[in-house]
Amino acid sequence: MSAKIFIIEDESDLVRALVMMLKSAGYQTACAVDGISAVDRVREEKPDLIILDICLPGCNGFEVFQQLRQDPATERIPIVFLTARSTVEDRQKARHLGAAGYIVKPFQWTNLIKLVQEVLAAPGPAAGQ
Amino acid sequence: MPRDESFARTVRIAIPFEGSVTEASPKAPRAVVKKKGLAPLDESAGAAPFQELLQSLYDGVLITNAAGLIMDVNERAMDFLLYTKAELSRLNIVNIIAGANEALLETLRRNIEQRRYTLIEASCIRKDRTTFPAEIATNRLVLTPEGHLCFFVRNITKRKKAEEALQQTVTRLKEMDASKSRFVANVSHELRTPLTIINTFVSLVNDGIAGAVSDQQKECLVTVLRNCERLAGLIDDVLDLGRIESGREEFHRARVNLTDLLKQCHHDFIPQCLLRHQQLNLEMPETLPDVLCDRDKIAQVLTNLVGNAHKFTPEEGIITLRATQENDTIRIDIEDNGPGIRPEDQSRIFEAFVQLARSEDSSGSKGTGLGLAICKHIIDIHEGAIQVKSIPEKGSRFFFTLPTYAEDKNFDAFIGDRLRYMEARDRQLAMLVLQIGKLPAQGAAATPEDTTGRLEHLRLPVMEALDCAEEQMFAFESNRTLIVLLDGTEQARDGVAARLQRSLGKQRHEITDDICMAYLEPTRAHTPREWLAQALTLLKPLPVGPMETPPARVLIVDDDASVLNLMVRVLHESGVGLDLKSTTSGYDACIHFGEWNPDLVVLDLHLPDIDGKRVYDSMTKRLPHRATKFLVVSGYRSDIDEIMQLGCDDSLCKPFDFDEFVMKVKRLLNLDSRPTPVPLEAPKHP
Repeated sequence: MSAKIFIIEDESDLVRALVMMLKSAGYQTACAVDGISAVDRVREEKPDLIILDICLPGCNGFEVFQQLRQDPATERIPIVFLTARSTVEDRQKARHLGAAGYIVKPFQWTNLIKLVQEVLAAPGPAAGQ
Repeated sequence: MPRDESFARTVRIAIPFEGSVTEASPKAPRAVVKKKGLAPLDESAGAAPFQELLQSLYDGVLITNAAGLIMDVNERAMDFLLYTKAELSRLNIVNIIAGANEALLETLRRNIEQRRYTLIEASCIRKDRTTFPAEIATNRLVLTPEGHLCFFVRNITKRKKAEEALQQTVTRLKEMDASKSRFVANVSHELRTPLTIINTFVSLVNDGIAGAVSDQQKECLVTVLRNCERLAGLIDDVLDLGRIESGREEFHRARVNLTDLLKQCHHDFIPQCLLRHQQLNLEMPETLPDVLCDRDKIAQVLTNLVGNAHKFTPEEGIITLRATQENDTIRIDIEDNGPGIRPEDQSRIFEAFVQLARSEDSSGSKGTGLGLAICKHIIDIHEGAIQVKSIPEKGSRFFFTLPTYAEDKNFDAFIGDRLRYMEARDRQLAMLVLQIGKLPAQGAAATPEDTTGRLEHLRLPVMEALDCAEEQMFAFESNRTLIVLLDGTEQARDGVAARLQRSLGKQRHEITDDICMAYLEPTRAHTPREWLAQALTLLKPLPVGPMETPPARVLIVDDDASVLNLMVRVLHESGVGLDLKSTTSGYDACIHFGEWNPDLVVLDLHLPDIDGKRVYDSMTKRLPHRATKFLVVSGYRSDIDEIMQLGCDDSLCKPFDFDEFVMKVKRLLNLDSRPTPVPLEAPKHP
């Protein structure tokens, strides 16, 4: 069965684009459009990888990240940030938190797919189970 | 608590003002004492020329006896104060100066004895009880053996108004600038999201994900994508320029190997140049000295200039990247044989948003018009120069200079970068200087090997004691000196020396030399070099190891003498060695505060002479960098709430429990957490 990617992104147009590109690359997808519902949905869906925006309504991406890491059911799922925030501080913060990747918008969709493939292939905590 | 010795000769006294105001808003009077030799009055001078001189003065003059009783005045003083001479002769000078009392006179007399004169900024009270702001210079006048005091009163209403207007303008401009920067940052950020969506869908279509695409359609889509990229570049540039212009961009200048940097840039551009059959040369001497720069920022400048040359030079063109040394600078040239730039455009090319009409735009791509403006800002911060020389049809040569690395320049850059960063964030830096051993003799600089190891031992305990990060540290090694920059708003309020002594005490066996230390409060008034020079004059040996701190100073102000005495007694009996001063007067409290520099003020909010809130206000506003803590006392909860809102440290509501009072005093002075002295450790056995 193909890997499942969970998208947490508040711009529904961008979610559609992401779903289209991920499906074309052979992945299953699921999504949430705000940070608050995302955590519960991730627990239900049990995805193999999460694509996470930082600027989200209600609760920002870093907070979502930490909530997912605190829950034993979701702590091992690799997370890739996809954000318009390009400052060094945000990149550093993402790295310190232990993100699997950081992509700045606007981005090349082929680069995103490549990163997703690499993360899923890496012998990380999720893949190693 | 380290006391800044540079202020030893300057006593600042703030007394809040009360009374009706007519012309300018009330300002608490302030006395600034400066050292000055006093010229003795020539006693042979006749009375007539003296009177003539007195009457002709621009300033109002009041002559008093030693007790402050007015003896003589000039016309001008009468004009200012609206009193007749006879009326004034019945008054004391303290009746004229708002907020003045006997204690102020005492200070004046003492300053005169010490051959210093006092300059008071205060409100003067007219006969009709209205006031005007004045600057009052005081001096002695030896007319009789008892001596007289002489007050020169200058009305400074206009100056005060102008100062206030100027201050308001500056504040408004700063606010406008900040909101402009925020707006630009937000808009640029918001633009990215729709751009991302456009870009993503177009590339999905272009790549055939949404169905087959004809060649003609593909050509259209590629054009859209190229322009998306251009728009993204413009947004990045606007954000970059905004950050650099406002000073919010952080610079980290350090020693950089320029040869590596140029080789990297050359290497990065070769594939693009090959595509357009351009030749990209790199010319530089065998060895280049290191330069002082922010590596990432200079890489950005190189990328921009080489990128421009690549973009505007036709196919088969030649681009040369060249480095040459000129005394203590390195000059970097980026030369092309492209279409060149018209002479009238060359002077404006570094301005933001200047797009030139190019004679030949070979690639069809335009820049954002911001790249060169960003380059210029970056080179300016490096204290270099950036210029262009170009001949139309022949080519262009952009060049910029960078300083070669030198330790003293590195120091200036380090301090400068951080000062700019903090200033842009409206924060201030304090400087802590630690020096190992004595200064090396002139011309006999210590070798790096000699000092590095010892500075290493110092680093850790210092970082630990100050709770600061590695980036805030700077080792100025040739002078055996360690410089630490601190956020002045936080650490300055703490006993830096005390923490340092405690922390270094644990490491005593590793540091065998004497350590000298100086701590300088936040300042914006100096260049980095002057700042350090000032710090070096303040160096004092730091007694390493368990230490005796001088007793903390506590000033207690309460109009109820019995409560006051009780507070003094319980503090004495508490067994905490404290240096206590007490008063029932708000005026006296202000003067004690100015002269005595207490660590803690216990302040009753209900005083007979001045409202306690005004006392608090004048103490905190006039000397914002003092580390003094405040414990306010009042019978009214609402008054306490109001003053706690202003940032007061702690409060007590009357009637209060004296145990609680002692506990709060101890806590504010950090006495309950003081650890027991750590005995000197013996060297560890292997």
